[in-house]
Amino acid sequence: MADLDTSSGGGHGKHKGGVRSKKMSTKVDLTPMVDLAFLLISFFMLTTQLGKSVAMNLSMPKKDLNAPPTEVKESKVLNLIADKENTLWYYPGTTVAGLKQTDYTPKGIREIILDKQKEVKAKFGLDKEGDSQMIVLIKLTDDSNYKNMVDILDEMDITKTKIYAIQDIDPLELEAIANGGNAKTSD
Amino acid sequence: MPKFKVKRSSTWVDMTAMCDVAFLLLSFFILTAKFKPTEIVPIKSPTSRATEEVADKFVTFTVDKDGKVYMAVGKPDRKLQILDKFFELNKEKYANIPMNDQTKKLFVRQEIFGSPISQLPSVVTQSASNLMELQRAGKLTGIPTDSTDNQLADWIMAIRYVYAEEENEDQPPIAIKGDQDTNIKGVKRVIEILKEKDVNRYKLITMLEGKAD
Repeated sequence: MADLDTSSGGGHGKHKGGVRSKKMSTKVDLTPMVDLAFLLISFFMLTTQLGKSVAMNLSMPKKDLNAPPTEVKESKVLNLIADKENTLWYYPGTTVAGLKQTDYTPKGIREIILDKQKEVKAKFGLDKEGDSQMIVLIKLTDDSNYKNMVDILDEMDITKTKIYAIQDIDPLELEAIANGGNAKTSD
Repeated sequence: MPKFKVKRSSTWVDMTAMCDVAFLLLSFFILTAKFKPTEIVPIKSPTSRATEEVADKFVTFTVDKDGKVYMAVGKPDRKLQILDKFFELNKEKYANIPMNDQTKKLFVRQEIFGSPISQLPSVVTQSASNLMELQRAGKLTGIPTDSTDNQLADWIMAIRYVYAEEENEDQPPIAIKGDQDTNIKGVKRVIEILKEKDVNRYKLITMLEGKAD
């Protein structure tokens, strides 16, 4: 095809006595070049895919000053409090007591959410759409950062928790955190 | 007797065509790739599993590491409308700010805006690289968000008006972008103001999960 046959023909030619100049093949092995090209293609394709920004949806409740606070069953509630240096506190129910510490790894927060989901499922079953009825209240202390918020919201998506709300932190909770997880006894 | 010759086919495969294809594809990908423009405000977004692509139409509020708020509008014509609406809604409040067509044009051309409105006429004359330097030196103060001079709220109102009038959308396509180390206070403040202005649905801009850095 693209190569010219310039080989000297193996010696059965007729110019036995003549001066024979050594003819070089013009064939160039392009295999390494193809390898390189495909390597670069894969590299560019992979890097462009991963540097992409994506948008996460967030819906907040409407501000309605006259609306009464929504009543929720205490046993459905799980509170997550993001604190400084990537620590995370959690407690079930609505009474601030027995805060426990965890982290953002799948072993930490995800296990806790899934355990609570199981508990709520056993007690209340699933809702019409087949989702858990668990309610997660997300609270962020002033020392937490944006990554913590995105991580928790992402975890809501991973565990398919549909009911969650970002709330202001309660002073009682701040006290409990300062106290190492135990609610202050009122004496 | 005739000799039987075993015909030996060469193992040589001509790679030229394949090489051509490979380099053609390579050039195609390089040329079509959209390079991330150098951002005036450097942001390292956290990662998430979200899959929705970031669209040009978003109005993005960026909160940087120091909690300063910047605004970027994807569509240039909307940006001009938002600016006009901003002054229309706050005629008395910002009457002393000199605005002309040239300033407006420069404002629209500038990628991101993060200053009090009083500084707008001077800030828009800066080039992108100058703006980047100012940002790095901490000279850009961000859009004021405190309750005494809540310009962010005025901007949000202008955005809502423009999107309601032009696209009949009650909820404008607002996105919040933050650095992963941004203190939550700044982000919370933006969310609070959005809530005050009845914007309840918005996007958080994150990176696609799996990027190893």
